[in-house]
Parts: sequence; structure tokens; C-alpha cells
Amino acid sequence: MDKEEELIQRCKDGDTEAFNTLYKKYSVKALRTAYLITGKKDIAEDIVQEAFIQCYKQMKNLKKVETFPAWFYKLLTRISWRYCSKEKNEVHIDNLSEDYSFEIKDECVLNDIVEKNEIKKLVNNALNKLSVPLKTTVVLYYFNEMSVREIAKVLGCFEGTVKSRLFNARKLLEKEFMNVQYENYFEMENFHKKECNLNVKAKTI
Amino acid sequence: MSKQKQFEDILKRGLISKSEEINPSEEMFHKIETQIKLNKEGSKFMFKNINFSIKKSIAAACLGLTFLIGSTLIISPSARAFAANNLNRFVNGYMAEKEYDKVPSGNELQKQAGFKVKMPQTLPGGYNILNVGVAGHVVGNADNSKLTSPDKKKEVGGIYEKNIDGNKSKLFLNVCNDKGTDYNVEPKTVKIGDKTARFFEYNICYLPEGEKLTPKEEADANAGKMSIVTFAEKSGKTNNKVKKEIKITHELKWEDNGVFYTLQDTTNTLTLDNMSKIAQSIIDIK
Repeated sequence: MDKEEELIQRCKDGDTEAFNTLYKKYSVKALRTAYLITGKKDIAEDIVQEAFIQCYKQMKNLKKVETFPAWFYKLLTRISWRYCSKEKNEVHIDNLSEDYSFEIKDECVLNDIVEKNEIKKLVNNALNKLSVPLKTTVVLYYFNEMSVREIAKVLGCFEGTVKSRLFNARKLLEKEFMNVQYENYFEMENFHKKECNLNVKAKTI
Repeated sequence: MSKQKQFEDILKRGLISKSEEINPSEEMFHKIETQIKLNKEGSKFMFKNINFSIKKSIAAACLGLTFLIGSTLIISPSARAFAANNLNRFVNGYMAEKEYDKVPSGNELQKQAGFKVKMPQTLPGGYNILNVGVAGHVVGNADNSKLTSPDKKKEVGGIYEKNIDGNKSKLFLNVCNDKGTDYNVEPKTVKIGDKTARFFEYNICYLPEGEKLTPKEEADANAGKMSIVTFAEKSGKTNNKVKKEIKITHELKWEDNGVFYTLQDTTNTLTLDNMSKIAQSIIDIK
């Protein structure tokens, strides 16, 4: 039994200090997952509080300690979806500026051209266009780095459904990324890469 | 880098960047811990007034304490057992429905409470909001077997705190659409703007689980002259036993547009004049 499994077993046995440790381990990621799904900070806090309370109450029903992460995120996702439907899918990202203008600088790689802030706005805008199930799948895959199998367990669906959702979400997101304001990201990147290569060649000569 | 890889890289970076805007607050675990303890005790209750019988009215003013989060004070089942042994097994109180760590918007509070609530983020004298709770009226058996909500009575409780040289001092504001039960002590009437307020001074006895009241204390409680709050220790251990304590409490009560306000000071440090000024600042909210 590894350290985390030992910790979870102690929680199942009612050890409150172990539960405190478990909370410290999972709370940040759980809160950020809930925030990415719902888009609202206060709701995300409510969700995580409820998730940990339910986790404590139902922990004794957890049959295999090694399945805790999927079990916990299943709880978290279910509560998140309940809050989302209460809010009638009025999810929005707090304080999102509408200004998408940027200045393309004379650098070679995308990281240097596009500010971190711009990427955030780009992804926010695109993510907001997705339905809650698609958004959740994207968050669990790309942010929580879960496998398709793990996501299927969390969402209580088939692996094929997860793959299909990922495929559809990617298509929609790519379409958003490639709209007229952002297509230059990719075109300019290729252009600047060519220029950089030429410059390097000239110097070496 | 392929376009697919580039796309995934942007997506991951965007998600991580966005997620970094939020972190768990310090109070979050306290709230979780408190709720777990309350659930363990078999109750999500926070009693405002415990009316032990139809004949007698012991107004156990757990008023401000009803919304203390993260504190060791929780209503012990033995309080109900104590009451039930002496009198009818009937409970009449308020059950917490929603909590906030700051005052929500006026619309949100009105939506939850069902009436307009004047509750500022800060009070004169350097008090800042610590916690806000909305509770609904419930009645039922003392053993917590069945509770019903017979009416639309609701209360909103705000706990304010200020730091004086490292010592924290709390002030409680309770807003209710029901007048509630008065204490069996003669209030002083005071004018605050165009409102007439009543100023009460009475005792609260903090009774740890396992400790008993003296005959005089019991008589005062039965006569409605003293409120009792019983509590169990957070750790459940007995080596940090808290002693029984009786504190003087002051309350200023007034009505504003059919809504009943109570400002409570359990520290006995605020004068009537101080409390009146605070009440005036609340009344003046549009």
C-alpha cells in the first residue's frame, strides 16, 4: 500500500488528521477544477466544501482505496454539474476583458509572440462556447491530465463517449482558435520561424 | 511543432493560467470541519431561541453564537436532553441554510431571506464582517427525528469582528422577519433617528457539556432572565476542559419596515451610545 492509499485508509477509519492531510493534498486542484468547469469563484468554493463534506461522510463506502482519485472527482463533478444547472448554465469567466488586440513581436516561437494573458483569454472565450459535459471532459483531460479510462469512471460513461466528447470539443475549440482574430498566431509563427532561419544562415556565412 | 501539438499546448497553458486565479481560502477547511462536526452531532442546527415548553419561555439566546463558524461552540445534544428531561420534548429553532464569508449583494440576500436586509460589510468602530448565515425556522422533536418548516420565518445573522491590540472582539447582527420572544428583563427605550429601540441587558451562561447549573442559575434560566448555551469541546477530549462562565450581554433591538433587527454585544465593552451609533449606521442604509 503506497503513502496515499495509507492516508485514505486512515481517513476511512475516521482519522481526522489524515483527513486534514488529504484536504491539503486535493483542495487546490479540486478548487481549480471546479472553477474551470463553472467559471465562478464563489460557486467553486461552495462545490469544493460540499465535495469534501460528502467525501468524509461517504468515505467508508469506498471499497478500494486506490480508486479514491476517480471516486473523489466523480463526486466533485456531480456537484459541479448540479450547481451549473442551478445557475442555468450562466457560466462566465470573471473579469474577462473584451480587448483581444495584441502586438506581434519579432520573435520566433509562439511563446514569445503571444502573451500569457492572451492565451488565457483565447482559451476562456473558446471554452465558454462548450456545453458543460464537453467542458468537463476537456478540463479533466488537459488540466487534470486524466486518461480516457479515468475520465470514463469519473463521468460514469463509456470510454467511447469520452473519446467522442474530446474529439467534438477539440473541433469546436480549434474553430474558435482559428477565428479571424487569432489565425495570425499560427501564420505569423511560421513566417517568423522562416525569417529567423534565414537570419541565422546569413550570420553563419 | 505540429498544429495539433500546438493547439493542445495552448489549451493546457490557458487552463493552467486561468486556474491559477483561485486558491482555497483559509476559512474553507474550518467551514468543512464545522459542518462535519455538526453533522456528526446529528444536527445542522443553530438554535436561536429554544422554547422548551408552551408554559414557560426560556429564551436561550444563541443569537450570535448560532452563526459562529470554526469555533468550538456547537449545540450539544445534551442541551436538548436537559431541556427534554424537565419539560416538553419540543424544539423550536432555526436551521442554517446558507453561509457566506462576506455580505452578499442586496438582491441575493433578499432572495435567500425573502425580505430586504440591511447588513453592511463593515460597522463603525472598525468592525468587519466575518461570516453571514441565513437560517429558516424549524420545529420538531427534541431528539431531532422530524423537523418541519411551518412558516416563512427566516433570519439572517452577521458576525463582525475587530482586532484590538491582538484581541479579537465580536459583534452580532441578527435580522429576522419575526419579532421572536423577548427576555424577561425590563428594557430601556432609546430613540435612534426616527426609530424607537429597546436596550436589554441580561446574562448568558456558557455551560460546557457535563457541567451543571446551580439552583439559582436554573431558576433564572427558567424565569427567562438568563440564557444558556451549552457546547462540546472541538477535540472531544476532556483535558482541555472549558469552565462554566456567565457573561453580561447587551442587545439593542429595533424594527425597520416590518423587519426586526438585533445588535448583540457579548463582550460588555460597548456602551449604549456606541451601540446606538452602530444601529444608526444600519438604519441609514438605503
